[in-house]
Amino acid sequence: MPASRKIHLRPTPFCYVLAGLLFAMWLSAINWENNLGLLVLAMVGSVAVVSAVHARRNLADLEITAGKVFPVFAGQYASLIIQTRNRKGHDSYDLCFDSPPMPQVKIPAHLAQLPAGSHRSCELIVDAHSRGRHEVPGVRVSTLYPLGLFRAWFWQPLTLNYLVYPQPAGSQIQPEHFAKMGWYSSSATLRPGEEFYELRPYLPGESLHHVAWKLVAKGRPWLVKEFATDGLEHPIFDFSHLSGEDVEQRLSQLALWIQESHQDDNLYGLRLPVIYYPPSSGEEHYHRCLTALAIYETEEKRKARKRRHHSRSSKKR
Amino acid sequence: MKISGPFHKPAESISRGLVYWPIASLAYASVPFIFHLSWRGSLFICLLILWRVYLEFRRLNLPSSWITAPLVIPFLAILLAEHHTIFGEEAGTLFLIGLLSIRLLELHTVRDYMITCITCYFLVVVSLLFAQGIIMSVYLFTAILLVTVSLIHLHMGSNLRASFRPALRLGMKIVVPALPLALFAFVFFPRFQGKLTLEYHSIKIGVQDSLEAGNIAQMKKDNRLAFRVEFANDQCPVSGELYWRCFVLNTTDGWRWWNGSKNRQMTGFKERPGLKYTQNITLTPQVQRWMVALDYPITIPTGALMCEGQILKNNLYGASKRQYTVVSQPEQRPQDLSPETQRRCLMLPRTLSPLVKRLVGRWKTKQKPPEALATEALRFFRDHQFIYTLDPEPVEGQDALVDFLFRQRAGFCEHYATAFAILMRTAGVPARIVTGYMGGEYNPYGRFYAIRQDHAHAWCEIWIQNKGWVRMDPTAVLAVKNPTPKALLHAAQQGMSVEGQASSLPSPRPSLWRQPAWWTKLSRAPRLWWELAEIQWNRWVVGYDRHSQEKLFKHLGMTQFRWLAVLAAALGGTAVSGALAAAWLKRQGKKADHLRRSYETFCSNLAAAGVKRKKWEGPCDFTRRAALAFPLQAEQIRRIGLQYTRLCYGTSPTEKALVKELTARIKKLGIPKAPVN
Repeated sequence: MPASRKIHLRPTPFCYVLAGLLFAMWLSAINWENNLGLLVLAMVGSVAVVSAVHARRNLADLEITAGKVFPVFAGQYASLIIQTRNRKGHDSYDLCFDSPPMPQVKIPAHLAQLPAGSHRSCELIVDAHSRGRHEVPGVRVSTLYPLGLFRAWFWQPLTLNYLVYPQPAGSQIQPEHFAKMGWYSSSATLRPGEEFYELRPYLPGESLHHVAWKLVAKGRPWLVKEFATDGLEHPIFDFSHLSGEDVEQRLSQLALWIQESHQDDNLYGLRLPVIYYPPSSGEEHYHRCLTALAIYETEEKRKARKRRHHSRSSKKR
Repeated sequence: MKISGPFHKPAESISRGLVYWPIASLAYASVPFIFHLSWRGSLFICLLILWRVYLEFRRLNLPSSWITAPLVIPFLAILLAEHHTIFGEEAGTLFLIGLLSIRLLELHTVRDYMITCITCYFLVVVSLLFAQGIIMSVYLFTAILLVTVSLIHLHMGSNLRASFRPALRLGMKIVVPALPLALFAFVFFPRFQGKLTLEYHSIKIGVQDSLEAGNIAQMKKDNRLAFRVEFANDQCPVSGELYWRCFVLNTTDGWRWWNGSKNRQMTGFKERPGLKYTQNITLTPQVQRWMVALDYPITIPTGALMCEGQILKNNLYGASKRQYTVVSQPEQRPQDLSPETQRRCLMLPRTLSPLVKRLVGRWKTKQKPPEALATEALRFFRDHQFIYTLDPEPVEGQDALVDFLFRQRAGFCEHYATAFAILMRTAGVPARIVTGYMGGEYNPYGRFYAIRQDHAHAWCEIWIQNKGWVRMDPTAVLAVKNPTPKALLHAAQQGMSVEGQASSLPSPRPSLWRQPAWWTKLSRAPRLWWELAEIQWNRWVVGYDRHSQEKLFKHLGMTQFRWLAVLAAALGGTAVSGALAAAWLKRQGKKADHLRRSYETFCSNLAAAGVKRKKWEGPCDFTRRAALAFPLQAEQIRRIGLQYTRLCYGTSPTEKALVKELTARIKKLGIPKAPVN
């Protein structure tokens, strides 16, 4: 926390109203040479000025730290916890926290009272509309206390990161059901309980049992048929196996499957083009998978890649 | 990065129970205006307020605008019936109060709350247009406090009972420091010349050129400034001689008095040896077209005329003159008595009662000279228990004079002046009435006299052969008999005779209930003190105007570039006080800074020795770990940790001495460069 930060002061519209009224009164007091009127006028003006000092004092010596943030799904609200400690000898009132660089801040946090020496936490409610890792650069702490004629505020840089998982949505059926319905079982060699998974290149020294001989006969290279047997009979949610073009839709579908499986306490794995998590279960696995979905090639990244690709191809031409 | 943006609007609706505060503020700030409103209007406003309180108390829904908006109509009707307008300071303010009270019914948002409170501040200032006494000022001070506390309540939270004390304390913390600031601004903020062409017909100041019962009584209730006078060389008459003449009235129909003769212009007079007073007179912008001068003016200011009766008249049409210098000599009595004037000054009302004639006839038996006759008349007033009061029973019609002389025997200057003039005329002595002002309040800053509307006065002049027109003030003889404490105080302070001030002071109205003697005795001293306080208040606070300010600045040596100097002083003062406040705040911050820096030294020392504080480690965890690493210094380290925690996170504000002690302890702590394992 910087030792002294700049506390800004700004009159509220009510202050301007009061100033206008006082100006009118000033004219009339001068007109009637009403000296006592001028004194009381000065009194009201001074009250306003002194209140500005109190507004600044209200914000002095506040220590603001970021609290833990729990990830949410897109479309939900994330709550960012802000811890405030009052390090002065008197209470602070009416503290409002928002973050103007973040238009998605839905509900600013508010602390009605912060007694001297104590600390409180409050929540900044953020509209999490898109997946990914988001960053709040800081919070603006403002107060209207004590009279509402001036608003004092300062900017507190903070590293408040929050993660937004893709919104769980989609209508496709989980892959474990695929096998049961036999969509993939074009090969008759599949025994009950075995699920044909995929073909991979043959590695020397491997058993020849699962080599796809039919393909070899057709002149293809040696490939091995992989089956999900005993330990492998749990679904692996694969990004590349999902139909549909839209990346976001596919990620949403994966998120839905992961969520459902997690709720049913099933084991599941996740395969993305860049990452593979073998089937497992539990909170940690759940969040690891969803995090992978959240940070998978965000919109900006994709655009940047496309641009790069485009420029390269144009160069070739 | 754009860190400023629109601020979030606070919750629109205010919490329950909070609404009592703006209601209380409005009611409190409106009390001074109740006296200007009829009982109907007051009742209307009271009912509105009670209605709103009831709604809040029973937690009922607020009425919609369809119900509240038509409420303006009856209030407007009440207002129009009394004031015939809704503009002007009085009617306008009352209208504003009515609107606010009606608006109260719908008050439930923060905005309404704020606007109501801010308008209450406005009302507080406005009420000073109507009264400027000490009690009023104290009342307004408390009103400002109440409105401030109301505003604090809005921003302090909703827990009403818990927050009352801190809100009040804070209110005091805001209002009390504001007082010296306000005084500073009051004394040094530049005043500008008045008259901004805001004018309402009802606010004219000045005496009128005719006299009718009640004219002056009305003026007596008005304490606005009429004009102010500076005397050259500080030569001024004793206050008892401060007769400011405005009009001479020589014609009567028995009821009304006016100037019947044509304005005969006069030239100035030559200065004669003797007392001479040079006056610098400034009329208040609101006065009508007349000019005033001390008895008796001998020079004619430019742009003015001198008319019969040695009075000054404004010659300029349109632009009336407000500031002029005139020389007066008390010995230069008016000497003119044309036959026409003589005829007028002996004219009697057609229906003069034989009782009056008989009374005067008794005095005239020995064919006395005019002076002796006047003395007789004055003695008559003095010996027959005549009383001075501003609220006499109205006497009207033919028998008014008889009624006053023989039955009622109570009245104020205009009664006495008219009665005296008619008595003199009956006796065959030419007599006329002069209206103007008497006395004045000395202003010690500005060294000038302020003459207010309540100094208005009427007196007589009688013609005495070889002497001219001699002033006779029948009101003055009354006061000798029963001087009021205020008059005595005035007299003591201004070094004047008691008679002088008496005319502007009402003695208590005779009533059936008499105050018991012990009460009079007991209350005398406080009353005297109170009246002294009032006089001082008027002098030092109400009387501190532009002229006083200019004089003060001159006294302080701010003659040249005055405005610039004042502005520079004001800005400089603000800058200096701001810098001081900033320095103070910074020092507060530095104190905390010292603590942090010491702790950082401590951490880096330990880091050099091999125990590095982890980012997430608080002072407790860190010192515990460090203590384990350095068993020899364990006790010291543990103590530093404890002390730092206490200073940093304890509820008591950080104390300088303790911080120093900790710093010293950290310095003393000798830690080897490599950790001892």
